[in-house]
Amino acid sequence: MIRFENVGMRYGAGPEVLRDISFDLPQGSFRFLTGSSGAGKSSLLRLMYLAHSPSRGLINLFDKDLATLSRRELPPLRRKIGVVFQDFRLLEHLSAFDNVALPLRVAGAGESVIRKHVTELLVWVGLGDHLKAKPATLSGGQKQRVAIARAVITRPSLLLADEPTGNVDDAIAVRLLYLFEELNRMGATVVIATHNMPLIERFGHPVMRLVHGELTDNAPRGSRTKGR
Amino acid sequence: MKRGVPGVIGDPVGRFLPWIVAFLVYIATLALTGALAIQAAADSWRAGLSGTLTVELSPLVDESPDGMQLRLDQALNVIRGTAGVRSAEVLSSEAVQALLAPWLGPSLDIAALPLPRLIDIRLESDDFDTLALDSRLRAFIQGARVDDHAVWRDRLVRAMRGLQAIGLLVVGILLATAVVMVVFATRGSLAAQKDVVELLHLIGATDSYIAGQFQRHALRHALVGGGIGALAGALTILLLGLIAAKLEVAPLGGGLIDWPVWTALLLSPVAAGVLALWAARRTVLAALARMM
Repeated sequence: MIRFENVGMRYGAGPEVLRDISFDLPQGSFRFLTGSSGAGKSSLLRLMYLAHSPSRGLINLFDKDLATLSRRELPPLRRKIGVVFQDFRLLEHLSAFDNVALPLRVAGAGESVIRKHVTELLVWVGLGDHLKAKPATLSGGQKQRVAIARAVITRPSLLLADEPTGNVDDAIAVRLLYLFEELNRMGATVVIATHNMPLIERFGHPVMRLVHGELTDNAPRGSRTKGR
Repeated sequence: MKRGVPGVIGDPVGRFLPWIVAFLVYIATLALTGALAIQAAADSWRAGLSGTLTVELSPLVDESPDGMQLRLDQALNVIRGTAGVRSAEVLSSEAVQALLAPWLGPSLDIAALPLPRLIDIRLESDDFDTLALDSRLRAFIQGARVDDHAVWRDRLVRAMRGLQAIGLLVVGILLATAVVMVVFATRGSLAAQKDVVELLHLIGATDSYIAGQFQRHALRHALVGGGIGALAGALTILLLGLIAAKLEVAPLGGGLIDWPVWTALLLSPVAAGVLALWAARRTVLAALARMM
């Protein structure tokens, strides 16, 4: 599913923010990605959701070596990946419905299919009464759920979330994690970047830990063997 | 865009674009109309002069009116006996007076002036041997020479071609300006919506899909602006046509309202739209090519 081999990453001509990253994530696995601020969590996610190229090393995604792919081959690959951004990245001029519908429209889905699926999903995440609401009128938690709905509307094979519980209270954070587990049970590989240790302890999935750009912990262990 | 589906890309910097396009199309339609009118006038004058010759008989020193008349008759005999001549008429004194009146006044007594007499010749076709006629007339009639208007006509046509080239050059410069304006507007829009573009990119939108979002705005702005510019151009041309008609500048006035002009006016918004669409697409694709 995902394989990193001695991957390094830098922004422009700056220093490496990730060094010698190597790991394997099989299909259907669930991982927490943790580390202090600036450790490189978001950078590692950027590599995984194909927003940035590695400066060295090999990345294999969905059995494809990224180094050998052309630009034309990337969009279909990106459509298999759902991303929940830390800052949501909702389009302010679109309603909750249209924000969630965006990946389906980009993929060329028909409007009748879009209406059915988007409405169902927004009802499922508890926003059935906010289909036409613009992001500016939604609370942080509601925006979070719209962002999550947009990330999962295409039933991605890989779901990546960058601090998805950072703007919500504990009760909603737990609900969101249950939602991610549900998607994981449906077959999606899930990677959640967070430094919410109580949440990590509570759900007990394996942890990938980054320290100063290096992966120091990447093995299912002890009580954290719940994930595959 | 499908009906009822909102546009993904906002358009914060493109709102001025229709007015710039309108202005450029307006000037371009006037320049193009000028070039087409000049073409029409040149064609009209050339057609008017083709198939005609003028024979000029210069007055001789101390020549009596009867002497001049005799030479005129002899010249007419030579001309009418030449193959390829359809008709030959001596220009009357009244006609000569009318030709000179704008410069010398209506009360001019041309009999008192040593003016040459003119014979207007109509030919059956353009492949007439002018040099042979000129040689024969010079051999038999003193002071006679043939003028086929070539020098005057060629100078006029050259001057008009120059004006026409300037008009077309102006149209070219305006088109290039329109492309540059669309490129800058699209770049501004891209910069203002960098986050939206990146999001579309990351959720799997192809370059063509993203470019389509921008080119849709560019096309709409250019069609609206082009329509306004073409309408203003049409009104101006109608006005110029009226003024030209009042001033009796017939060839130019006629050229102003010919069908090529109206075709150009109708096509100018479409041309502006296609140009804007192309420029926006190229700009966005070039920018996206720099992303992963």
